[in-house]
Amino acid sequence: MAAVRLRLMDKSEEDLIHVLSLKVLREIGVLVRSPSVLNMLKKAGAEVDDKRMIAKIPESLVNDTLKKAPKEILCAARDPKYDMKLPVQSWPYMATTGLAIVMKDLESGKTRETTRKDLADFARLADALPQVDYFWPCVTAGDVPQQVHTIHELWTSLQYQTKHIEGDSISAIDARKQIELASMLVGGEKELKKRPIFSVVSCPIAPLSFEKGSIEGQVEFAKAGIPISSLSMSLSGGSAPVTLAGTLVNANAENLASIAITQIASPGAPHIYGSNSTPIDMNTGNIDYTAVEQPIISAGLGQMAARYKLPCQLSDWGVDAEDCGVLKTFSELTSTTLTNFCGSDLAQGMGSWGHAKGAALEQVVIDAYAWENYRLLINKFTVNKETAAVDVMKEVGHGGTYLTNPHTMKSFKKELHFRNKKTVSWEATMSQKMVPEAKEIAKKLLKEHTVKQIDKEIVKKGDELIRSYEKSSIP
Amino acid sequence: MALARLKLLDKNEEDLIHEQSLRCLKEVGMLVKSPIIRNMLKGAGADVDEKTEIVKFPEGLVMDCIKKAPKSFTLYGRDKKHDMHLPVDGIPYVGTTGLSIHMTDLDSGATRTAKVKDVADFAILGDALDEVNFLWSVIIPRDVPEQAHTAYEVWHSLINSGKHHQQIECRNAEDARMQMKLAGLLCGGAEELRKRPIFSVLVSPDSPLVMRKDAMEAQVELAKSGIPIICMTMPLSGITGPVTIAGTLTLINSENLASLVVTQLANPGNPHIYGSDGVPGDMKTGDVAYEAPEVPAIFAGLGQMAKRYGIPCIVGDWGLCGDSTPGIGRSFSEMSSTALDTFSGTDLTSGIGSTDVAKGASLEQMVIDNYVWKNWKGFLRRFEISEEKAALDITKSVGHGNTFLTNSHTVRNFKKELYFRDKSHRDWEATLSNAMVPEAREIAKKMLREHRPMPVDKSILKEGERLTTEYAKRFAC
Repeated sequence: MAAVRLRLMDKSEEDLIHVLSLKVLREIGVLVRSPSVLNMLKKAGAEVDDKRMIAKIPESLVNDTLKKAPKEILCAARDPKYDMKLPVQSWPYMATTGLAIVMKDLESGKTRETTRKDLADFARLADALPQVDYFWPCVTAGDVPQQVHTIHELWTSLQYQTKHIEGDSISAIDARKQIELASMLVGGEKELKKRPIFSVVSCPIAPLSFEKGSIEGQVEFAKAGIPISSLSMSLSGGSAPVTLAGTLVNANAENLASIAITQIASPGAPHIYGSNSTPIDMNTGNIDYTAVEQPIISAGLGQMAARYKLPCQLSDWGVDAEDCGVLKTFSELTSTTLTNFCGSDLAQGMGSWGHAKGAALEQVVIDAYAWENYRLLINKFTVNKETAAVDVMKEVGHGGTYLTNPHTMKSFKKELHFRNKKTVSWEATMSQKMVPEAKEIAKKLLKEHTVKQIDKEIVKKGDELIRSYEKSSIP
Repeated sequence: MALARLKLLDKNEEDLIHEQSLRCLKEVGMLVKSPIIRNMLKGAGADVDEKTEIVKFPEGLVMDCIKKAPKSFTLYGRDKKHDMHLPVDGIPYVGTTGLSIHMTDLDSGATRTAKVKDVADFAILGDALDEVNFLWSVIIPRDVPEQAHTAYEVWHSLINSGKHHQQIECRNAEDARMQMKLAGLLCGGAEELRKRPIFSVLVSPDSPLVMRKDAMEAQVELAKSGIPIICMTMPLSGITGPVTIAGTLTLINSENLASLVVTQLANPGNPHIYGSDGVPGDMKTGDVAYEAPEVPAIFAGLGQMAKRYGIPCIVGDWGLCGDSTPGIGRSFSEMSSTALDTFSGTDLTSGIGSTDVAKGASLEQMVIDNYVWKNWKGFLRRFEISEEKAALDITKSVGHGNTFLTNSHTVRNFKKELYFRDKSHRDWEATLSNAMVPEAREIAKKMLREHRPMPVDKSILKEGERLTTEYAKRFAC
């Protein structure tokens, strides 16, 4: 199957990124702020400086763990019809934005902090929109104690929508609780391992370091068979070298280190090669999602993931301007949208604004509709003797028409795809005119859409688990 | 050096398109309406049926001509500073739209036909706009006899701009000779023109698989004199080509190879450009669907085929209008269908100033397309992937979890490595909008008023006028 992919490097350049990444891991190493994970690495053959908490990872260990990482991953969903099998053949599976701290109130339009109830709304909207394939908990549950916010977010997401969830974690105990919670829905930890209905993003902290809580959580998830996505945030000029090659090496090295940790913890555990890297804005120091280099970085990393044959999460979707609507220029927006040609299996970002610090229900609708039309560009095609159609050319003859040939009638709906004409009119850049209609649609879906309920007994048990976890972890 | 480019085919699929194209040329062949060219092909080993006029190309002939075709050459400008070396080393060269049948009046905004004066205006503006690298014959002048329009286009484009001119139509062998005579005047004769061809000609088979008599004889005439040939076939999937993407690619590739054979037989080693503007047809209206989602895939596939043969190529469009009046009348994803095809690995792209699905041209649209291209180029530029650029020593000195922002490496390199967009006219990149048109119109007017193209000697101007007028007289009724 052929699909359009953005490629950056020739074979020798790709080799160089690989070789230099190995050199980084061997000579500079990674800072791991967890004694238990350092110990695990040491046992597997890494050279560990306990005082500086730096692990230097030899090439053999990297190659060995790469071999163990599975090439195909199931990201299951509470409703099996939403199961996602990686790798994809055409466009990536698409999710909403994640963990915004503020939102636009759907009624008043005002910016305000978010609660569990808001998260439930985002979840139900995502469940209702067919363009959303899986769910990132869009907003932070600001009305629960901060030490336990992730478990509340997972629980709300599980209850109010039925698609796969990709969340995050803050500690080993938090990870354990998330695993226990999700296990209740599928009938135990063994079942969860077979059908992981959630996965986690576990970001290295660029350059080249891992925080204690998240990396210890990662080890727990690996053991439970929960897919881990090591979303490197290598920000050129900020947390990574300003040069493109330097950014690629940094992101690749962080991924290889993270994969090593997952595979040492549990050989064969599902791990997704990931990145959300782009330059920083040299004026403000902010993450610059309008940077021209963003799709170039994804293209390079897409090649590295393909080289290692690892499922990957390397692209973004969503306008993410200062306010709702499409307040970016054509070429600025392309910096984001083009990342989806890198060969990514998973992508996310619907509904965000304000550098992903904000989310909006109406923006989820706008981004979802635009994605429905845009993703057709990343479609797959069959290239074989039959579709090359030389025999049909013989039949049609010189100067003849294909319009009336049976081959055309038989194939045109398979080969040509048509955008949704109604929502094409929403794709005006530098414009907010689509916002009122998007708001109405969001309201209507929230009013009408019902989500398949979780058994009441299980809900009760889940609530209890969270209550006792809160008691034990909050002084 | 690394470039971000779209790829469609893996190696096996690329091989398949190549093999099926050879099969198409060998088994289906081309309908060649010119006895002269059939004869030339027969002499080179093709299997010719004089009754049906069908020529079947053996594989050996095709492969031999691919070998003969030059892999790099220059498209010259009247002004040397506009010379274009192919293949490109990064960003493709961009040209104007061509062969439009109507234009937008710069004062009234009305749609009207063009005169010779307008041909000159498009050339002057193309010369003035920084991002425009070469000109197509933008528009057909209607104040001269129809049979002579090409001569006027060549002449008025060349004298009003120092940039390379690509002539979109050449009517026949006689027309070809006239075009070369005019260009020769500006170079100092036919031999000089052969050394520095300041124009090239786009002449293509008609899809599916037809070579017209007049056009192909013109191609032979031009090739014999060293004028670069651009083959730009244009099958519309589902109408004049198979509806499948693989079939479209095979047909376009076959027609390109056939055209290449003709050029190389006429003059071995003559510059020849692989090209296409083939996209799906709108199955309802029969129109050209430049906004179809399959467009970048088709161009990406063709870019791979051209690279396989090592032939410089024009497989990608630029031009944002998509509407009958200037502006950006398409949605974001529709616009992306056009814009993303510049990632095909193409050496040349064209379409600046086009309106109304390439049937119209507009001076203000040229200004808009020129501006957006400047911001688009950032995606298409080269990057260096080297040990030095990977900067491991810098990472070591910055240390785990620290910032590069204050490191001197960042300060030294950021302007070289990161591309900064021109933010002066952000509103000009509004899709589904024509808000930018009034400002673009004023800029076009100002440029036309103030820009002075590289001058041409008065006696040469006079001679060119005489030649075109005499030529036109022969066709006057």
